Amino acid sequence: MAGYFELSLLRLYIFPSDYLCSNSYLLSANGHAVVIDPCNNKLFFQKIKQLKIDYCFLTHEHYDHINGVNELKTNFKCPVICSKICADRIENPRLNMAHYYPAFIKMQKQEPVTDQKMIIPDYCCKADNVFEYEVLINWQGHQFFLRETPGHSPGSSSILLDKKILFSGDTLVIGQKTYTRFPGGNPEDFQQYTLSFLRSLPKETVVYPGHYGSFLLKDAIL
Amino acid sequence: MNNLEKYNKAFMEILNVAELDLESLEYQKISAWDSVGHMQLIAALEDIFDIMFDTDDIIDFSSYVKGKELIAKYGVTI
Repeated sequence: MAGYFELSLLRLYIFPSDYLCSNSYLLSANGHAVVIDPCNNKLFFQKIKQLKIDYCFLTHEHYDHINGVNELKTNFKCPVICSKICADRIENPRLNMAHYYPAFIKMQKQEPVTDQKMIIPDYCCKADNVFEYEVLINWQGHQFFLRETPGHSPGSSSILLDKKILFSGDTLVIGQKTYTRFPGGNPEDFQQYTLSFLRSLPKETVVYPGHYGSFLLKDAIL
Repeated sequence: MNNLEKYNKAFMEILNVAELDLESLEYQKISAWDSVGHMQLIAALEDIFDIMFDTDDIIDFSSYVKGKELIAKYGVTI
């Protein structure tokens, strides 16, 4: 079910996907919007019709977080921004995991995927602008800080909004240690590059993760 | 390194099992070979043997022994 929060002049909408509950986020202000991790979700695409989409940010390359990128680019012409590593990997169905998702979902849920149209095993997409290490982007009086946080995947990034809200993708999910076992995942990278960044943030930072609900950074397992 | 050695090495490194235990190894019989471990293993074998498994074969890859049979479909003799 989609959620909705109002953060001063900024509105934040959350759209969990049907499979694996991957969260797409929509931030809107003054008729403009930013999208994070667009998934193929009818409600999401209905909602953004009313808005001017200025940017699409990707937290990482995995299929369940990028499967709405092509529809978004086709219909809304907005630039897709992610790390250079993420950009390289979203172009390859093996590296973005689309190739493995039909089997993975079936094995996770122990049931067949009933709507095959939901999963495209050769899915790939392209970024328009890339960054290495970190980048600051100003938007409608707000500031996005995108920072590479590898570990869950080589192309993982976290997105800090106004130094208060963190869109963590799968780098942080409530109640569990960060998953670094997927192909390309690396626990050493997480320890070396990502943990210090996460630990440098205020403990009251609100985390909006790639799956499930929000939480405070102090409640994360780091 | 021959194909059998490459195949065994993938299992031993990814699932952290000893060579002696390979023949009896089955999906979900050890904690490392869960659905995520399975994707790691499949991706590694695809890299090693330069193949791409069909979805049905990824799902049917239920044991060390069954995997040898499935890989043969892609022209790789273990």
